[in-house]
Parts: sequence; C-alpha cells; structure tokens
Amino acid sequence: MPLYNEPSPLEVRVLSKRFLLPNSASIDTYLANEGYQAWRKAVGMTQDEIINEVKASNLRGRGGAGFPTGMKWSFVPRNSPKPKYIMVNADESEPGTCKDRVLMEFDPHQLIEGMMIAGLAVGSQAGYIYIRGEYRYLIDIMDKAIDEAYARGWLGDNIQGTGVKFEVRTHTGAGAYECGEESALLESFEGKRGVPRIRPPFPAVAGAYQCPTVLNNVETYCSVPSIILMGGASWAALGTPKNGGTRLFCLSGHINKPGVYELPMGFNLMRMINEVGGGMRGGKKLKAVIPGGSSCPVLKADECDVAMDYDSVAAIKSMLGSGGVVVMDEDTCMVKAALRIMKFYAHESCGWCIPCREGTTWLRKVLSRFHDGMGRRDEIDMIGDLSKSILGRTFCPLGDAAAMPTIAFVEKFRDDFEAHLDGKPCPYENASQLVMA
Amino acid sequence: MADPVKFTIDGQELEAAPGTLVIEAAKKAGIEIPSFCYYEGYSLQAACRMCLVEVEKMPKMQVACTLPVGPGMVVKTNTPQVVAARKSTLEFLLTNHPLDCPICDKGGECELQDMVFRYGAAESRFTDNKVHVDEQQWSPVVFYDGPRCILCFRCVRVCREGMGVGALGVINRGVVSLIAPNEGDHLECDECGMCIDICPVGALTSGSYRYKTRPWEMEHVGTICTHCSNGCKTTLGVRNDEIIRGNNRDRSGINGEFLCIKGRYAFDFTNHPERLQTPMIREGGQLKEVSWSQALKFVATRFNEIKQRGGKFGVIGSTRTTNEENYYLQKFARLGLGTNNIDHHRTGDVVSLVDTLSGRTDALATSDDFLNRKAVLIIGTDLSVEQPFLAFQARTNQRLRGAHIYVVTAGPVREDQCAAQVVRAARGGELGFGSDARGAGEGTGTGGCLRR
Amino acid sequence: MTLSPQLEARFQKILSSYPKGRERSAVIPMLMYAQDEIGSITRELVEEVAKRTGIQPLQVDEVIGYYSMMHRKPLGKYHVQVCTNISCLLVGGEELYEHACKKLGIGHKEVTEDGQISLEEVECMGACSWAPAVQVNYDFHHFVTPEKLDRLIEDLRKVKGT
Repeated sequence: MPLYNEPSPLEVRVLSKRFLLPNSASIDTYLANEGYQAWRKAVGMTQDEIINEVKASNLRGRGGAGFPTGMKWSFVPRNSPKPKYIMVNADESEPGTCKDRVLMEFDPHQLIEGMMIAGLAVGSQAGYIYIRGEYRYLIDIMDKAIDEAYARGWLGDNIQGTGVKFEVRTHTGAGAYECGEESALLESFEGKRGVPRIRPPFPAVAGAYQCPTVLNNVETYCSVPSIILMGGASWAALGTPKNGGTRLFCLSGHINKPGVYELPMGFNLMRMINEVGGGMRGGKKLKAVIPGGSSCPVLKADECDVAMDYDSVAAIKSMLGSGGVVVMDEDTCMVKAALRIMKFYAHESCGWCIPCREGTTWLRKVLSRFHDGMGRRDEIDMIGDLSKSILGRTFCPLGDAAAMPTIAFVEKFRDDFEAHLDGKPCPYENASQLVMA
Repeated sequence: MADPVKFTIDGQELEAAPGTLVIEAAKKAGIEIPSFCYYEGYSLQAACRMCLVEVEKMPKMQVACTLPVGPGMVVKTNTPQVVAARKSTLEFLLTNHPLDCPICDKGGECELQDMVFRYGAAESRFTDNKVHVDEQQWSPVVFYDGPRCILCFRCVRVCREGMGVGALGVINRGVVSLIAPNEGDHLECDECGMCIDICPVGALTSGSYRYKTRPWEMEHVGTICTHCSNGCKTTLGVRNDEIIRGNNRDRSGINGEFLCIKGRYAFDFTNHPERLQTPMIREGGQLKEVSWSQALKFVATRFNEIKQRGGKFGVIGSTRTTNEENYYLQKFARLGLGTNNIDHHRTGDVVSLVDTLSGRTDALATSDDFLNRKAVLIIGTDLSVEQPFLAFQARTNQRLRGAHIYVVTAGPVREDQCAAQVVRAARGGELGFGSDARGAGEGTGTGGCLRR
Repeated sequence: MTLSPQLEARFQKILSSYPKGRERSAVIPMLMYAQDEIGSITRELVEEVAKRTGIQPLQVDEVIGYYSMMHRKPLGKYHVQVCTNISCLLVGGEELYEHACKKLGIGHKEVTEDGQISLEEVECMGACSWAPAVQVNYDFHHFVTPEKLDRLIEDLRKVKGT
C-alpha cells in the first residue's frame, strides 16, 4: 500500500484522486490523468476570469486562517512594475497536521500546476516552494517533479509554445514553526530570522523582496487545478455554502483508523471520528477533540456534533484551522495536553514581542508545576487570566494560538485541573498510552 | 503640501500631517504613550507592545508606534483595557527581569523603573524560576547583562542604522533570545558607547562607570567636548571633584543624543597622574615645577634673546584650540615675535577651503545642513573617524530623508555603505576630482559641503 | 574555505535559484546542506556563507541561533528525533522518548560516546496520523513502538564506516 494509511470508502477524492495510481508522482501519470489541462484552460482565460472562478469556488486558505483565496489573489496590484512571486507555504508544522506532506509526496505536479495558474492570475513568472527543513525527502521529490516539468516543457521560458514563462524552485526551512506565519516565512526566505513583519503592507502588495506576492498553503494551490477544470461553482457545491470544496483532514489520537482522508467541507465531526476514523480505540469514551490543529480551542465530547467547515466551527468558538483533528479519550489528562501544547508554543515563540515571549514560558512553568501537583487553586484562574493578557496583544497570531486553547482547556476541563491540586498525583498517569506493536 | 488629517486622542481634537504616527501625534499634544522599542529616528519594531491603545471601530487594540493617524480616527490612551494591558506587559517583562535595582548602574535613570512606577505591576504573580545567563564583557567598555535585557532592540538599531557599524545582533529564539556581539564573544567596534546610553535598562553598562556611583550622587555639568571641532555637548557626571562619566542622555546640544567614544569616555586625562598641573622648566636635565610668572619670564627672556640675535621663529598652532585662542596666537606671533610663519597641524586643506569660499561667508555649512540638505559630498576624509558627529548627521539624513551621499576618498570609508556614488581617487589627488566637479557642478549646486 | 566538489556544486545551484542581488536568500539553504556534509556549522562555514551572500558573519550568527535544526556542535552520525507533541503524546510518544533515553543512555541533544547516535525530543514533524513518529536524520518512521525503536537503534549501531 503506497499510502501511509488505508483509504476510507467515505472519501471524496478530488485533490487526492491520483494518490492511488502507480507512480502517482511521475509526470507521465500526471499527464495521463488530466495533468496540466487546467493550466491549458487557464491560459485561454483572462486574469479576472481565473480569479472569479477561484472566488466562485469559495476556496478558503487551507493553512489555517481560512482567508478567501480569490479575494487574496485580487489584492495583488496588476500594474506594479515590480516582479511578482508565487510563494508556497509548505512549512506544515501545526501539531496535528500532516496533509501537505502527502500532497507533495503523491501528487507533486498538482502543486506545480496550481502555482502556475496562480501565476497566470496575477501576472507572476516565478514561484518558490518554502518547505520545512525536516521534509528533506519531499524537497527531493518536488525537485524531481520540477526537473521533469522543465524537461518536458511545462516550466521555463516558453511553456508548450504558448510564450508563457514560469519558473519554480524549492527552498528549505530549518526548523521553526513561526516560519509558517506568512510574513515570517518571507523573512526566512530572504535569509533572516523568522520574525514577522509589520503589516500593512501585506504580502500581496509587498511580499518577497518587497514585491507583490501571493502566499498560500500547499493544499490551497493543489485545489486550484480541479477548480479550473470543473468550474468554481461545481467545486464549491462539493462543500457547504461559503465553505466550498473538499479538504484533507488529518485524523489522529485515540481512534482505530488514524490517517489522512479527503472529505467534503461540512462533513460531520462525529461521523468523521466514528465512520472514517473507525471509532474510539479500545471502546473508550470520547472526551475531547481538537478540530483543526493545536491552535484551535478544544471541543468537549458534547460539542462534537458539528459540521466541519470554517463557519460552523467558528460558530462554536473554535476553528477549522489546518484540519488536524486530534481525538482524545476519557483517559486523557487535559492538564497534560494543555502543558504539552504550551511547551510547544513557548519553544517556538520567536521572541519578538513581550506578551508571547514571556507569557508562553511563564504559562509553561505554571502548567508544568500544576501537572506535578504543586499548583495552587488560585492559579487555575490565573492561567486563564494570563492567557487572556496574551490574546489579541501580540505582534502575530502565535500568541493567540497559545492563548486560545489554554483558555478553553481551563474553562471546559476545570475538573482535571482541580484534580491535580494539593499534591495529588495525576489521575491519568497510569494509563499507558503506547500502541500495541 | 497635503491637507492635515483631523483626529481625536483622549477627547482632544487634533490635526497632523498625513503619515504622522499616533504616538508622535499624541506626544505633540502632550499625551504620553509609553514605549520601550519605539525610538524616534530608528526603524519601527512594534515589539514591546507597551504603546497599545484603543481605536474606535478597530476590534483589537492597536500599537500607536506604527499606526498613522487617519481622518476621523478616535484614539483612547487611558481606558481600563489599555491600563490593564500596560500593567500586564510590565508584569510579563518582570517575570525574567532580575531584581537588580540596588546594584544596577541604571537605577534611578531606568525606563523600566519609571514605567513600573507609573503603570503598575508592583506585585508579581510569578513564583517560578527566572531564566538566567551570566553577565558578559564584550569589550573594555561594553558589558551585557542578558537577564536584564528587555529585547527592545534599540542597541542593534543604533549600532547598525545610527552608527553604520552593525556590531550587535540578536541570537536564539523566544525567551532565551539575547543580544550578541559581532565576534561571538566580544565586540570589534568603535566603542562609542551609543548602545549603552540608548539602552532603557541596565542590560548594557559601561566598563568605566560600573559600580562607581549612583546617578543622583553626581553633579551633572554640561560642557563642550574638545576632541574634535564638531563641538558636541557632553554632560559630565562629577562626584568629589572627579569626572565619573560623560554622556548626552538629555539630548541637549546640537548633537542630540549623539556622542562618539571621545566625547563619552575621553575625559580621563583630567585626573591622569601624568597630567601637567603646573608649568615646569628643565634644569640640569631634570624637570622642575615652577610658578607661572617664573615660567613666562623664562620663555620671554629666551624669545627676546633669539629675537636680538636675528633668529627666526615658526609657530605651530592647533585646530583643536578655540578660534579666540588661535586669534591671540597669531597676534602674538606677528606682533610679539615679529613673524608671519604660522601654520597648524593640518587635518583639512584650509587653503583650498578658503579658496573655494572666495570670500563668501554664507557658504560655510553647519552641522544642521548635514542633517537636512539634499546631498552631501565628502572629499578626502574618513568622516566617521575625523568628524564623527557630522558623519552621524549625514547618515541620519540619508536614512530618514533619502539624501544622496557622495564619497571621494583614497580608501574605503564607512560612508561607502550609504553613498549614492563612491569614487576612489589617488591619495592626495582627491581634490583633483573636486575641482573638475566644482567647474561642472557650480551651476547645479552639487558642491555638497558648500551651501548654494 | 575549500568545499567538496558536491558542496560547491550545491552552493552554486542554490545561489542560482534567486534573482541577482538577492543572494541573502541562499543563507539558510547553504547552511543546511553544508551542515549535512560537515557535521555542524563551524566558524569557517559562517564566514564562507557570509562572504558568498554579501552579509556580515554576525548576520549569519543571528540566523543560526534562531533555527532548531542548526547546530554548532556535531551530533551523532545518526540523529534520532522522537516527537512528543500532542498527537504523538496521545499514543505514547513520551514513553517512547523516555525509552529511547534509557536504551541509548543519553538525553536530549546528547551524543553517544562513539559519536554514532544522538537523541532529541522534537516538536511535531508532520506524521500525526501515523504516530508515534520518529525521524532518523531525514528518514521518517511511523507507528513506532519501543520494540520497533530497539530494532531501529540496533540497526544503526551495526552500521560502521561511511
């Protein structure tokens, strides 16, 4: 089996339609299966037509923020004399997320084609794929696909004799979650520390090298060829109103069939856990779910009957985020979960601004002490209070990403916190988490 | 000129030029918005978050240091939310900042102390261990105390942008971020001390001042530095008849807060054991202390003897003495000694300068011109070394107003970095270029140091 | 600094990826590929990269300290990275890491005496749905149990020479 997990019969394969083909990554497979046909169609469209098609699809950024993609592309100033760039955010580091990996591994040409269409839409002739340093093998796969594309005339100065020019290169990261933030990614791309920029101006106007830049997630670009081929409205109809299409969901945690699955937007979360994810491991009860990567507030079991699209999850005060669905059973210590997540943010904080830099480390220390049984009762409220002092006050959303989940853990699972008071040992400590061999 | 923007801060109706930052507009109206990282004249950071204010119709609080005033904007700098935000930012900062006040050189002059005094956070809820690194000495003058550092990055900016040196950077990530020197464990730099004085807290301290005194124990005396002709004001801290330090933190004088290594540190000659305190006459191979009247009589007698027998005199003055002193010197030479052989240690080609001026007294530039004119032409001088304040002005001009700097020197100079054009001429031949340019540039007024 | 022909070729390829005047973009890729070959980022390498990209060595130092994957001291020939972030934590990532510490007799970012293996507790590496996840250098290993890890380490120990 070429994939890392068994596919599910409930999947709606649009982005992943070529994954199961033999040699799915090769250009021959790609060309034999509608490959680069969307680009051909787009060459015959005007810039406005392409952007309108993407707008009609209701495609929203798949990296986590969910910003409408067509609108983002329309912000690029058409008449700028500066060169324009298509930048791919392949920094995938949000805990719970592993979808961009399979998109690049099993269908690299789809990403290239998506970039090329974006290039046509905004008038760009060059793109870079910023890939996290740990994904070295994917840099090799993308480089190979790029070389294939050049060799067969799908990239370069005069693509298929149309006169259109487009160049693509990969670029490696070096281990920093903050570089997934769009302006920090640009700084890192320019050879500097991954510290975000003051905005405005936004990347669409002043991005890579202060030139107009489209910056989107891997999955966002990968969705574009299908949108062009089937038409924006048809693609939108696969999902729910204002939340078009399908997306790759990464199911992980205490389920029988963890894996990456392509499902329509709006798929019900409980169905996802039970029918796609094979239900709770060992027959345990569901306790909590993180719906879209560690930055999203946790949902209690009774909140999980929700459509997985941006608007529905936002309505219950969480986020669809990166699609990283982390499922936790009744034997999970929520203080431990809160601690581990805060440890991550404290480690990844770039250090630029005071509330995030100092606040995340403070919270990690308090949560650690708390989990060890040495917390005070008034510190439970203090944890929420400190998180609220970080929220909305930082230079970039990493502060919010650390604060919001922590507030949710304290508000929704106060019992778990109280169970650690007065030196009591963690009530979940004995439950061994190791999977059977 | 564009129409001024009308806006409101704390109920006051104000107006300002478009592009004015809210923090600056507030300051002009007498409303103080606190900040650590914002520093006028240097690049914006928005890092400390102290200047967060409420702006109507914007869902989140905004940093006043990067927000330009907008028409009809309503800003509030003192709501409960803003007050709480400032207090919590200080509380966050104090989690790792050590309680060094009793022994820290900055005590009494510290912006963090001032902020905590004004905006609260006297009680901390932090009961865990602080992040600690040992103090480091980076050069004879610069000491860095990592735990005290609030990472406002002023030092990095003043060194790179202000001084054009760039000897300081930021390393590591998150709460273990630190300022770092260019040679890994030490600094190779001008030792000007700008970083020490711009530091709002006691993270960067001076090796020559450390642990000597508390600032309120000194008498502060403003004077003019005489180490070059720029005439920078320096404020000397004096205690028990000893000069302990020099700086210009009050930003008075033509030099604002600029001082070079000499203005800041080169006062140690005053109490140096080898400083001459009285006149001395050599008698029998030994220098003997004498009174002024004895010394003057001795010199006058000898000069008269030489004059009687028809000997020739030559007088070498200094460009470092005042104009008044030089006037008296040449008068003494001509009338007293009867000679016109007067010269000075040449640090500039005065003859060519006088020639160029051709009697125009209005053509001499001021240090202010270096800061404000559209272009500056530097000929045959290593400006950062010989006239540091003028170099600072020119660099600031280029950075903030896009002025064009033109350099004509024999070897590379610091100004090459920010120059619009650089010409390497043979040593001694720099003015050869200049005279052609004078001919060519007269009409268009590109002779930089001379006002049009 | 003299580079091996492969590294020199790699440096040229990297530099050619960026428009003229934008050589600074090459800093991080150069450091990463050079580190793989040399073993760590040395003072010499810093100066070489600074020279080739037109920046000060201090500006290269700033970058090194920021990125988790860059190190100034050599790690083991095989760097074992165990994730303990949330998805791996839930299925035993922490126990797996502690097991690795015991098995190797070293801790976080430490190297075995013979320089063969080093260990690091890492953040999410993008294998959440196939957890617990371990990376050895750049190779991914999924659904890792203590037993699987033992076999993996045994295999690494057997490999000698280049």
